[in-house]
Amino acid sequence: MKKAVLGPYAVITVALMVWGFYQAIFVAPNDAMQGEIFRILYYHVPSAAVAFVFFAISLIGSIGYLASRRDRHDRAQMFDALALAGAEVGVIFCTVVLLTGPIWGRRAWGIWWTWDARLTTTLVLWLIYVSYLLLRRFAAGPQMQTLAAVLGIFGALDVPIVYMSNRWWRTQHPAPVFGGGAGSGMAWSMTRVLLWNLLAWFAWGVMLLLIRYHVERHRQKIAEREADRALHEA
Amino acid sequence: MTKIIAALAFIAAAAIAGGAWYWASHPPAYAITLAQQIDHHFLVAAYTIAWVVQLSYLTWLGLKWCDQKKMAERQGGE
Repeated sequence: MKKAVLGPYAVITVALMVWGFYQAIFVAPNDAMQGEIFRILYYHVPSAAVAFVFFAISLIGSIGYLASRRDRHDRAQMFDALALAGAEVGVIFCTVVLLTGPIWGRRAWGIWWTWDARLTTTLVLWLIYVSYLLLRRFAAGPQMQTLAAVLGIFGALDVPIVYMSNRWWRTQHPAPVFGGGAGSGMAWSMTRVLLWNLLAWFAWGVMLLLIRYHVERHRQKIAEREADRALHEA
Repeated sequence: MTKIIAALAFIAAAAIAGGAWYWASHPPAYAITLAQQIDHHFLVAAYTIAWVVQLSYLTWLGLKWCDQKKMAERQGGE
């Protein structure tokens, strides 16, 4: 990864994060019903959206790995690194979602957690990808990569279920704010702040993804060199 | 490099802890009722947790990157 690219990108990302924070705390108005606690939404919703995007990237990496693992080794390894980076960064954002949601819920609903469809499917999504990362951590070799790719594909199938859960079932979780039909939507003064934070967290997530991808590609090259050396010594 | 990353992580952790403490102990002027003050504390907790999770992961990535660089140097030197 070129440091000349990552450096300015990191500076822009940090500036966006600071701007997003400023907008969320000092510019956005309080919600008429919820008051200040509503501002948790500016971190919770972008984290969920970004987690979905990175699980989708992991899905692309997993499919790419399975498609190219037999005849294009280097390309398959690149896809595998992309799948791992997407899943890991996605889990980080999903963790933030699962931690900030209950904090909001405790004040808004009076409970930390309830087993409604949206919350349960999100927890299942997180567990699937944590098991994906554990599989990669405790197993080794091409067989592990294939199994992980299959698990990554099945894990990604939960993403549309999570997204649609509060449309398909009646949930304690709030109904869709955007695209939720008549009566849904937000004031522009709040939507604007949400979009800034969405952009900032997405930029932050891409930065983490690039670093994680680079680290994994580096690890793969070191492992390949060690394998080559062992082969020549044998 | 590892020491620099560890030092930056420590500074970030101290900044988050200090910032969260200051922010929690200075609720906005409109937070006059007890419920509004509790809301403020919950908001600070949520934002602090989000940043702790993200920065911890970034630090872990930085340390992993340093380890691999060292490993690659050792491999090249042998």
